[in-house]
Amino acid sequence: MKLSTDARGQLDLLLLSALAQRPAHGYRVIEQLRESSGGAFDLPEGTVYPALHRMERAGLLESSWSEESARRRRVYAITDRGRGALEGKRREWSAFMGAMQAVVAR
Amino acid sequence: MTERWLERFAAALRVHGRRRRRILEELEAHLRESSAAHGERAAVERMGAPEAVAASFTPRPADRLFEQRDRAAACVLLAAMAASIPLALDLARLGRDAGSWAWLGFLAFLAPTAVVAAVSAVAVLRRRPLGARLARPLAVMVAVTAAVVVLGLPPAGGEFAQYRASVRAGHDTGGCSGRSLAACADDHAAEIRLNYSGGALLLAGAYLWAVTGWTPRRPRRLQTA
Repeated sequence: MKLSTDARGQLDLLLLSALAQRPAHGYRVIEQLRESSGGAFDLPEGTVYPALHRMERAGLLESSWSEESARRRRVYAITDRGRGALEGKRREWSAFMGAMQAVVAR
Repeated sequence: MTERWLERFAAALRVHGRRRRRILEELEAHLRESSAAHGERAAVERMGAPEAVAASFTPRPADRLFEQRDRAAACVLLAAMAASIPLALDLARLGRDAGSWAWLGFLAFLAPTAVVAAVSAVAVLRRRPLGARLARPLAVMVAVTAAVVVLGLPPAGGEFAQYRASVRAGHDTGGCSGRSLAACADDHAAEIRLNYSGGALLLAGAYLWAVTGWTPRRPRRLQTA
């Protein structure tokens, strides 16, 4: 199996994982990743929005404006296709981690 | 600091239309929220260089085409001028056959507009500012020319009178079957006057919009609250 370990693949996996839990706007996604990783994933924020837009164009996400608070925000939600892609990326990531572990732990 | 970041971002963003407005609004909202939580300086630093972020929003083919609309309009303008040459030659031939010089006065009347249009279009193709600067005078010249032609004022009036006389005399009678030559001559002259004048006005207006409208190469200040 060819493993996708490039930065874009990992960013997509992180964003899809975060949005699989609940729909959120970009800022919330970034904060959620930072908090759930204990500060390890302090993403360059400028990279997140292009990735969200790219995945939306690919049909992995959908978005709409939310005006629940005083500030208008674009809220992203994962689609069925996005959930399928997320499963595939999780399998790739597990295989990659297993292969890494086999080499590093030797 | 946030405004400055957004200005630089907007200037570098090669995306157009609704998608552009959405991106700008989204990132502005993000910066406001991040500033409230972490301070303005930290919010801007966490976003990264605006030019790099803008470059990450890959332009779609429609965006790229939109960016080149000034050059596309210049090509259309030059093509329309080239397509008009056979009509000008026809008018000249009919005039010479009839021994009239009205065509020469009419073409001389059109020549300055044609020269300005050609210079402007070539300048636009070469991305010279002169092209956009000439677009407004060109639109005015085309409007004046169209008015003169439609109203039949000199020298257009004389030329079309001569044209009608040539058709009535049996020259250039294509499409006249089943009609009297006099009626056909009037119809042809009216078609030429109205179609060419209307077409030229539409083309000049579209050209003016295309070459003087906004593009990322001519950034404007972003309006922020």
